[in-house]
Amino acid sequence: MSQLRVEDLTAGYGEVDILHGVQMHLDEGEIISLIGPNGAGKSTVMKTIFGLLTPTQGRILFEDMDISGQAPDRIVRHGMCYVPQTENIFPSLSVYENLEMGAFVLESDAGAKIDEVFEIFPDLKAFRRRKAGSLSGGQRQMLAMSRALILDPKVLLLDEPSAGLAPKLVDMIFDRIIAINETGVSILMVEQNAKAALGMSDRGYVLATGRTRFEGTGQDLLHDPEVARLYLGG
Amino acid sequence: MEYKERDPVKLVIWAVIIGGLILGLFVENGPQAVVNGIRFGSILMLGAIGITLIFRILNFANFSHGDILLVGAYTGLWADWAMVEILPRIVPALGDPANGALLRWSAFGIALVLAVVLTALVAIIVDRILYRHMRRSNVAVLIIASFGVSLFLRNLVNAVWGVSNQRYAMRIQLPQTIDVGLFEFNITTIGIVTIVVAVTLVTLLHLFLNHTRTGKAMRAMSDNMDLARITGIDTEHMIKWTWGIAAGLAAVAGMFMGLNFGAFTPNLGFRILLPLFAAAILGGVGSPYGAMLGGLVIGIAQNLLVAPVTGIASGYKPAVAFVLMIAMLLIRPQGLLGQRERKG
Repeated sequence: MSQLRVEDLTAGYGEVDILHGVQMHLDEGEIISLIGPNGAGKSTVMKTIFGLLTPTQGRILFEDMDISGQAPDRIVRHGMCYVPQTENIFPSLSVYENLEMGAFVLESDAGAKIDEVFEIFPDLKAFRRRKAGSLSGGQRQMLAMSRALILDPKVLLLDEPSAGLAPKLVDMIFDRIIAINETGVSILMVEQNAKAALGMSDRGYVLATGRTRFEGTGQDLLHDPEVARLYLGG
Repeated sequence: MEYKERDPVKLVIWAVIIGGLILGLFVENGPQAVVNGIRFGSILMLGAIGITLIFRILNFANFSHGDILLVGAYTGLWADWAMVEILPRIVPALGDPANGALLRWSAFGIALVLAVVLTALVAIIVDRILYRHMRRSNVAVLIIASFGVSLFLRNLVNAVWGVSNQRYAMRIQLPQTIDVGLFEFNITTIGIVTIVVAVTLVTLLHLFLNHTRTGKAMRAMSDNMDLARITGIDTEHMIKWTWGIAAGLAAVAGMFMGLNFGAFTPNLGFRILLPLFAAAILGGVGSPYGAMLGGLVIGIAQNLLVAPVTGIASGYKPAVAFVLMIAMLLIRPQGLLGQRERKG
């Protein structure tokens, strides 16, 4: 059974469709990368899965339950969390308050959960009282991922986790993503850094002009001459 | 994006405010004007918080806020007179003419609570019926809708209570003279209660926003609505809270307007709208603390700036708010405590 399945997804902003029949699935325990050129609709896929955009056609199944068109705050309760590419923290709240918001749906004391997350990202603990808006890019990304991990999601959607980060930090973030995946969280990520992403993924999808063009294991896609020529920069 | 700013303009504005306040205390009638200003400012503060909360969370300038305040003043009016009738029947001692002041204060207190609840309900119902369907609409649509709500509420009040002067059951009070060494000023018990209630409510709001799950979620929503939804916050539920708090505080402001300034008519809401916006803009639209500060500054400035000029009619007071608002928009549009527009 696929944990997450996207069938024939058509969606977009207002009258304009960006996606024209996207097919993909995420199985339990996998890391999947979604790559493709700018404007291919990668972020739109994420937003539509998460209910920020309503599909005009097609279905989104989470553990065989149709979640197409559900509000984001309901989708979170099924056990799926999403880290957008930008503006993924609450800048005027403290680091600790950001994490408390991550635990909002638990309706119980978040303290223990937050301590668990501090173990994965120890750097954040030192900044717990600081306003999140004062954090650096890397710290923000860590906070955003921590916020999503508080709920112990079954599926985590990451939109360009390495965007705008220094190379050293990129490696660190990718290491953490692998570590998170090893705890049993299935991960669907969009990445601009296609080679690195495919290298660590079980499978990948190449998206172009709103359609899934290629599908395969990370290694297959990396070595596919056509994918390389078109989307990996030679 | 947030960063520490050392904005010279901001420092100058602060210097003008503090300097003006200190200087004002030493002009003729100055201390009295400052105290009157704090009293009016406390009321403005309660009203301006609502404008700022709605602006931050629902992203539009709510031009019906003055008339939400009006609904508070009039539902309170009904409850106040009703309580003056009902209370002596429940507690016979309150029927004794010797306990008149106690009766009237009790009636006003109960009416205040009822007005808060009823006004909050009115605002939440208007949101359900109207604004809820416009969450993704253009700001202009929302602003014009709020004008419509404003006219509707005002005419509703006209229809139910009529256009003539109204007043609460409270008797007119003689001011007491308070001497604090260097200065001396007059204030009524009503004035003192107004300031104490406003400060208490603002403190409670501060505690609510910073220490409760709902309050923090409201702050999160005002940072980023989409992210709040992704995080699992039930934004529609939080919007009900926002309207409830905004309208509840407006109701308190409305009742204290009526209580402090004697008779009122259904024009009350429209007339206070400008100073409310001036207060919200001065403090920085979107910052509840800015609204508190802005309310006080506008209140004091309105009284202080006309105090030393003998022969100037107090009818010019609202012009002060207007001038300050325009000056602020020109010099520092983000207001005193506001942050610069977020990018993206």
